[in-house]
Amino acid sequence: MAKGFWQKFREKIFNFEDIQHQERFILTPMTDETGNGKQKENNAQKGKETGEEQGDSTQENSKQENGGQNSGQENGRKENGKDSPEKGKRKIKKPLSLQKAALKEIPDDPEQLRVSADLETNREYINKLYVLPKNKDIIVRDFYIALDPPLKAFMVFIDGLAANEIINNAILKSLMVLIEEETKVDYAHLAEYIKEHLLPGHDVAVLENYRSILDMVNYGNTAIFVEGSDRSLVIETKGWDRRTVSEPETEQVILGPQEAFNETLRSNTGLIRKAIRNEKLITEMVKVGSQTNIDVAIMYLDDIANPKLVEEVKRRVESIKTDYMGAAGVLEQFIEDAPYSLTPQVLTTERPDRTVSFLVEGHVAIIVDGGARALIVPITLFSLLHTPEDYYLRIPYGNFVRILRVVALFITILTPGTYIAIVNFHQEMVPTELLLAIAASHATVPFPTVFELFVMEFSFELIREAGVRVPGVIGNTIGIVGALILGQAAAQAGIISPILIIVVAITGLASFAIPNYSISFALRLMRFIFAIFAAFFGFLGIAGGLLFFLISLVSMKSFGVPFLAPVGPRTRTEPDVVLRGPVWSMEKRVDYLNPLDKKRQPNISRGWIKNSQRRRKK
Amino acid sequence: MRREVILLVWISFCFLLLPGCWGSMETDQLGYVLVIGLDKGEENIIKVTFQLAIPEPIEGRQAEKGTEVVSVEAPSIFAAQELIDTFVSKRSTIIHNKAIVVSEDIAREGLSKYINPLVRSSDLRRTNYLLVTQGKAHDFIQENVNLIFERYPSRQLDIFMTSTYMTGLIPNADVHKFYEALNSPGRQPIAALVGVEKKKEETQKKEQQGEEDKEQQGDQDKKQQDRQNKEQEGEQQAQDKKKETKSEKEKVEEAMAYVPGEIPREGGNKIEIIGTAVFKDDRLVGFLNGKETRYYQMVTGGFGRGNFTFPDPDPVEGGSNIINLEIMKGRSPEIKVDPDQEKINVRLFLEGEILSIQSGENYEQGTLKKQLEDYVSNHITQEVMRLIRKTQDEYRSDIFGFGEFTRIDLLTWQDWVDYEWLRKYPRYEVSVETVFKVRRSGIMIRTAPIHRGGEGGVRNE
Amino acid sequence: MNKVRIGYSEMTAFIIIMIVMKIFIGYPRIITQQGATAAWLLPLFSGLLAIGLWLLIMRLLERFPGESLTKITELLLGPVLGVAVNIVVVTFFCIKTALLLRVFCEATTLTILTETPLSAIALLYLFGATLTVYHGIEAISRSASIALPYILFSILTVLVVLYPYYDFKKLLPIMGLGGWPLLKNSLVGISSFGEVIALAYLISFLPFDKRKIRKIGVKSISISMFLFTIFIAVYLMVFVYPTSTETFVPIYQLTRSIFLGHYLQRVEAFFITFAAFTAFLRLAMGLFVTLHVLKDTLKLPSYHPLLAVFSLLFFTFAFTPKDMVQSVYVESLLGMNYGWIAFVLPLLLYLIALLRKKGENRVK
Repeated sequence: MAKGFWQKFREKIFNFEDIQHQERFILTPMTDETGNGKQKENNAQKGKETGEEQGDSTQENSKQENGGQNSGQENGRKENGKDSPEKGKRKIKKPLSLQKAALKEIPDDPEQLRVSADLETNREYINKLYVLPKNKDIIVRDFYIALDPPLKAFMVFIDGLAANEIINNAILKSLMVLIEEETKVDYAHLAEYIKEHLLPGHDVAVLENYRSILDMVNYGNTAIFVEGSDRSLVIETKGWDRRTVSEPETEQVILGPQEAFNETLRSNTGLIRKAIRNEKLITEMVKVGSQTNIDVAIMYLDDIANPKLVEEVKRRVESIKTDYMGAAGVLEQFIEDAPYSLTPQVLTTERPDRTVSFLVEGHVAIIVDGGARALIVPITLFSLLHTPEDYYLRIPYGNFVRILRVVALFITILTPGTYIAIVNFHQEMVPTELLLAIAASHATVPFPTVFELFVMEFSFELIREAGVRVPGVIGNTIGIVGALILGQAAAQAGIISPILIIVVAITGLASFAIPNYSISFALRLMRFIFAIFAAFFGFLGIAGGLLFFLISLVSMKSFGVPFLAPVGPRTRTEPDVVLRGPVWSMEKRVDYLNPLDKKRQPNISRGWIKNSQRRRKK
Repeated sequence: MRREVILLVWISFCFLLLPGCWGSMETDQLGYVLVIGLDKGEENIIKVTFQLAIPEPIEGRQAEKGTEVVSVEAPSIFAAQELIDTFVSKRSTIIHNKAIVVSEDIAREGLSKYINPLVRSSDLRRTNYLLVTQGKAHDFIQENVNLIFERYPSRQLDIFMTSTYMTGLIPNADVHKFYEALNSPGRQPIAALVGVEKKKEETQKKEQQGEEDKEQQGDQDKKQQDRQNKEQEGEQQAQDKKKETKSEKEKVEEAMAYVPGEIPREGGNKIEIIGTAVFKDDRLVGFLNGKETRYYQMVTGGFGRGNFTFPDPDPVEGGSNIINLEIMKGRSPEIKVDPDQEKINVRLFLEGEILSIQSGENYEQGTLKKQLEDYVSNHITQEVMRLIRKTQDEYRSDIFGFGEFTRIDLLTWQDWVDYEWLRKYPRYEVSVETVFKVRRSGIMIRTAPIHRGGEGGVRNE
Repeated sequence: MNKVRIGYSEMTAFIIIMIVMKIFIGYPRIITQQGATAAWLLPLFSGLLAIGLWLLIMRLLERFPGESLTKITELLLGPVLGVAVNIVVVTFFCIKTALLLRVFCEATTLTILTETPLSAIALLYLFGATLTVYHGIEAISRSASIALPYILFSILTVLVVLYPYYDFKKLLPIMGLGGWPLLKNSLVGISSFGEVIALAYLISFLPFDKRKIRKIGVKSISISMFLFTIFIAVYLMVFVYPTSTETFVPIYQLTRSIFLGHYLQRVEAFFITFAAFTAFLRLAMGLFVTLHVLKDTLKLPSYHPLLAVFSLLFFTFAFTPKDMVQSVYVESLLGMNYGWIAFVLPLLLYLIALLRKKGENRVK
């Protein structure tokens, strides 16, 4: 990139560039052969410190280096042209030591680096790759393996990620203290020998490529470099501070298990494995995020899930190119079909038992390391409105709760709109006394009803949002009580009619009954849209709003499954759409998933009835 | 989906630019008319009275009265509604109207002209009650402003009109039924009869005197005044004598046989709702009092229950005892109409519950019970016959709807219209039969006799 | 062209809503005019006749399995005449739906939004219909199959709740206006089920199973027939014969008569919501059928570019009649008096197919 006039002017007058360029060149000399390498390192350092001087392309290049996705050759080629103005400002350096001369041959990309037999070379590599001694997290511990003669070795691990106990006991103790006197060491295959005879770790790998070594150390494992071995031992020593498996915070049930996912991928998959003790449960791992390298686990049952579905999920997840994926919600937005739609197309849950029930039906679960949620695909609207509590309760109670929830759903969407439609357009629907009471209370209010309603709804949403931020116990009470008190005060001041407070409170209460967080947002937004329609066209507006909502739901697809699946296109399904059938009658798996194995239960799943005396007599 | 979102937002924005939302009215901008009254007008064709509701504020000041009565003379109802906007600070709307009160003079002229706008309007409903009042509708509505038990007359009228099922003293009458009967070749319409309470005699006299005083302001002839006083006293004595000469039996018979303005009572609402207004075609021809309305309801099948008082059928000790029965509908009446022989046969099915036996006779069981049942059936049969004959001879209008039963025998619509039932009705022979059974007798199943203690001891002063 | 498929039950719901929509506008009034007190017999007879005719039409469709009626017309009548006839059919659907739009707007203005100008209401209806058609027949048919139970339920609720008015004497005299008018009006009355022909035009969206498609036609006609019969019977009982011919929108009058006590009266706006919803769907269906037949006739790859054009065309046609009475008259003319042409055309084609011995099954 060409420098601007002003930059050149500044440089000429103040000579900044001269000085900085001189400092840069101390570490590595400039030669013709490895001009690529040096320039890359140059630019890498520049990119890290001040990326401004050479502009955006330098930063781009350095990012590409760090991602390790472009080959070193390309980088060099791009920078050659840019570096030409700097070549003239070099100065002659003193000659290098042997080590440093070896270092200049390093391609900077760890993928091409291999473990060398020389321990100090490895140490230099590690220092460079981890930017030691600046990087205080990385600990390099030298020690001697107590063989005869003692072998020098050092290990690399990240403090805070690796478990100190394991390191001390499994590695240091056993290598430094517990080695017997007479051990014959196979120096030709040193690494294997140590792994098989000396090192009591349950998960030890022998690696030679620095990329994989770095990946493992970054995740909490420990790498051991031994003098004389051109391979390194990597021992599993993960042990960072993690939250224990605790109770679910948003999806509580009374009659079911009280475990929720936490942030560690392995414990999450462990929770699922605990519930599905089946060898056909597959966990595939994908790495996502160029800067963060987070693992994403895709779990499914091999003999039930539709292979095309699994393939599609993997295709979408593997093709994500981004730098950072913080939580499951971000992954959801990357893989969903319609990011701008109101309703979600992926279900997030923090309960392992819910995940297990979906896996057994034939869905696919995606768990992101670091996000305490599992994503379930594909999903229909009805799954978003179910809770596991419905299944754990008996049939009458479960159906009662379901009906209550359906009523709450309609109340959430329609109440404000219906209120506006009736009070502004269809006053004849209200019984006379109530209407006159509304008229009387509205007589003192200076604003039209629509405005009142929007102000009250908006403040309710504000209070709800604020309640999330306020810590602890206060936060929960602030929600509704605060809104009611606010409304009461506003009614007494004559700004709002009291009946409106009741409308808003009922709507808010009903919206709390919606189990899924994402779809409760969708419904909260929909009620505003309905209110606007109703304000213009009365009940016709509500009919129109219902139509638009229905059309958008009906034409949405979640991973190829229509969103209103058992009802939209009428497909065969278990008796579990709105009301719930008995647990012994869930005989076939849902049709819209096209699972490999359709049968779930035999015709009569209660053996004690099947084999009962009365039946046999018949 | 994104395109639709943008399109939706754009169109909504366009709608926002248009001036206001058509048809959207705030609740406090409207003045709700609860009752409409129609009178003959002096300065214009009709005088329309509207009773507008005054909304009651929830906290703080209470308005004194619940409704405001407004009257205006105009050529039509809707013109009157528009005129009201000039002196009422609300936009009047008749969507909450509960009843339409028509005065006698308009009803006698013919209601079809006024029914048509009521039926065509999209605001007025056919479920509004149709009430006819003797006297002026304006007076009726004016008297009904200060309600005792409610604030607005809409609730009050709803409760009043449900007494059609509870007591049978008023018929089930709304605009829908009126219009239906008007257009049917098989029946004639009716309406409910309402009125204002009768003025007390003292107040009547005071009014009379007040008028006379005004006439005689210049003339202070005491002799004339004395004479008038004597005359009035004489009148009063004559009236008192009349009251004394009415036997117990006649008093019992007279019970319920009132039209509004005749009920001997004190207190309560100022209006009275009892009786039926009989129409022939669309003109008012007469009234049925409360008692007759009950029998009318029995024949049409709309009778629910009612309280009947009869003189004791087996009079012992002077015969001033009564029997009080609650009579209920047993089944729908069986009506057979024979168009060839021109006969109508009515069979009524009634059940009863004994509420009070003053004489202590055991009418609950045995032959006495049969005697009671026969007595009541005969009584009711006679009264119903009398009523039907009254409609045939005096009013010549078939308010019962017997003509509807001739539909069964005819094949096409045109045949039925050509039959001209309404003209033939007065010629028909009617026979009535009542089947009455006593089902229950309250909590007591027999009455124990009272033992008396002989003469003396009771002071008569 | 990728194949869009919908299911059989969705198609049934589609056709049922297309036919049943008539209840929400002036159809019961017209029928009572034709049949007086025996008007409830008319849909019964017409329905049975329509079922018979549909079975005949099925035989035509069986000869050309999987082909829609547009293709069959072209095959039998040749390229020129066939395309001409198809264009006439498109025009028919177009004008009929546009007039329906007008009648809906009039009904809406009369019943719930008395002061909103007609063009605003028409815009709203058209916008809804256009959006629905944009998402294709899947959206329309799925919405129809979801909404159908609610619509039927609301109609039945209205009828049941009017129980106090029932009086079966009002349905006598049994022959109404006489035997001959009854017969004649039954014959003409098959036009009230004319929308079942849309099934023949949309047949390419279904996997061709002749038994199931026959069942769709029979089921939709019989359900609508049943609904019409009880609706008109109740309508006649609530509003006695001469009165029943007076109202413009019978269902509005029916709902206005609901009086279940002090608190449950004047609830008609609630039922009008269902009527409006059905109106949206019916307009979308009409628009879709028009565009689909046009697409098949002119062999276009897709109908989406024509969507906006036809919406505007509908708007224009809708506002051609001068006033309410004229719009209602023209709509009933097209719908009731001449709608039986919808049945006649396929029967003629069947005759031609028989004469010319065309079609696959003939060989076997």
